[in-house]
Amino acid sequence: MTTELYTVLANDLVAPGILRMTVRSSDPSVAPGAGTRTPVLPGQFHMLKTLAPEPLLARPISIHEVAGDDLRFLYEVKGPGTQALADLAAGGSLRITGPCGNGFAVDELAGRVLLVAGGIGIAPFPYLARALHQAGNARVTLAAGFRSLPYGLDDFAAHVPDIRVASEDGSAGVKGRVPVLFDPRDFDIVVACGPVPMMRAVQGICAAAGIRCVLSMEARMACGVGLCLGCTIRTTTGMRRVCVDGPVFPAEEVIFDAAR
Amino acid sequence: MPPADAAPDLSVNLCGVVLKNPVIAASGTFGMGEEVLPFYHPSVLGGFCTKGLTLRPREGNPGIRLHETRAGLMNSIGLQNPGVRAFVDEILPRIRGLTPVLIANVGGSEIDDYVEAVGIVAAADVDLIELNISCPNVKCGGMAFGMEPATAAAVVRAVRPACGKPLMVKLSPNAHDICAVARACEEAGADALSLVNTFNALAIDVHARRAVFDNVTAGLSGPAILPIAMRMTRDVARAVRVPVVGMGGIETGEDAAAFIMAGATAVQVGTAGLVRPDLLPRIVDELAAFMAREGIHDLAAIRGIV
Repeated sequence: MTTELYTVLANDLVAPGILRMTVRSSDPSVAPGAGTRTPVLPGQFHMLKTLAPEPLLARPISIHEVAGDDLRFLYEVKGPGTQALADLAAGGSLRITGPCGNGFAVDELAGRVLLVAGGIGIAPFPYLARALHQAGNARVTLAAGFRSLPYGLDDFAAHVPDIRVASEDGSAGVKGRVPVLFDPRDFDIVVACGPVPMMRAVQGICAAAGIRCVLSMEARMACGVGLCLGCTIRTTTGMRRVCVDGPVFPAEEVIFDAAR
Repeated sequence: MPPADAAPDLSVNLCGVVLKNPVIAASGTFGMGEEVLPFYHPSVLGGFCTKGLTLRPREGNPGIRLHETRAGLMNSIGLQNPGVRAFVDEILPRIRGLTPVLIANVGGSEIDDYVEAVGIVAAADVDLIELNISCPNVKCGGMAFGMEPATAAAVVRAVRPACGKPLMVKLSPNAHDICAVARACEEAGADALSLVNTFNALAIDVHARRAVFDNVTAGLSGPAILPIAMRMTRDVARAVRVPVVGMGGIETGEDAAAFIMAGATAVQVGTAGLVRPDLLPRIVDELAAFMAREGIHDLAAIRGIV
């Protein structure tokens, strides 16, 4: 884990409010593509911040793909922090801390694996799907739900034979929310990433079916490295930090607070 | 007189404890010190403060704990910690070797709890106790003691006999008269004072039409508070004889130098180290470079000059 300057290679809109950014270390001693840096695991994230003093905090963004030492992020503009990232042009600089968090246990994801994505929760799955494809122990299905038009699906074509899509407004795939796309009993393990209502639903569906499930959690963070205890969630083993104890947790350990 | 080209001496004496430099990591922004090891070894700092410890374990506050503001960060962590006994038995052996100066931050909500917690921690291998009477995020406690001279003095006087280590009291900027609280703590036996803890503040989600935080208010830190914290540091440094550790929004070596010019013996850095986990050693380097550039051989030469 390091904090270093990176240069933006590309930062393109792929759907309304959704961007894909590729960055490369600004350190001239790092040969692009050498893969000599700290390996980045699927499901880990990085803390991204522009060089401007404001907004103050870096933003946690999950790793979308890795090519050599270049990092790629898929992110949604949700507020001033992600807007500042979206405003970066190719050639621009940013400071990145990472890789952060535990990531997915790729070795434990075998057999019939279902990836459940809600909206921008799809971001960590292309890299995971590629890793699972390379490991060769899993047959992967993707169930992706969107509010409206889908995005990011083309990243899966090479590694995921079964791609299912739902949209709340019916503009693509099955009309409805992502649980309409699957029966957990058809799978050995379910991996979910998305908004809390979806995560709570997937946790419940899998628990009822007795199917193992892991959740990649999202939280507001200040540091991303375990210093502040700002991103904790309630779990069966106490309050735990999403940034260093997660973001990936066994679903049965996560206790969702009552809906506000 | 040292020769003009001698490396500047950054060391400071904080109530008998010698720090190799005046930059201390602030409580609650430095985990238990281990978390920065991927970035640097904490022994390069003057010292660090542990996460706030209480007699019994606390799981902290529910709901949102962080909120970014313009040039600031609001937090409502609520002193999540494993309790002083788990700290002494399980954590202290792991972290003792990380720093030559380990400062244990102790909070509480009842005087008896403060006394017992300080007794346990001060008997262990720590170098200094920082008594937190200024946490705005714990109900019926913490900051309540730090708001008035009489209550502040009561807790310091009660804790003093149980504390076999130098005792530094962390003050709240929310006190009605921070200098009066500072003097009361000094008279009650404090060996040093640190300030400021966070400013009690409010953020409102206008769309939801309610406060962002479950506790309604939360503590504000970061660059936004620097000028006020520096003024308070100067006021308190002139009001007491014991050393004062200043903090509030420090991001650079020159910020640290400014607090020392305002009268601080040492400084603490908090929020800036969250924004950039590798920052604190750079502040030490920047301060050394500033001193070298300005021909300052010893921090005593600039302490309290403003």
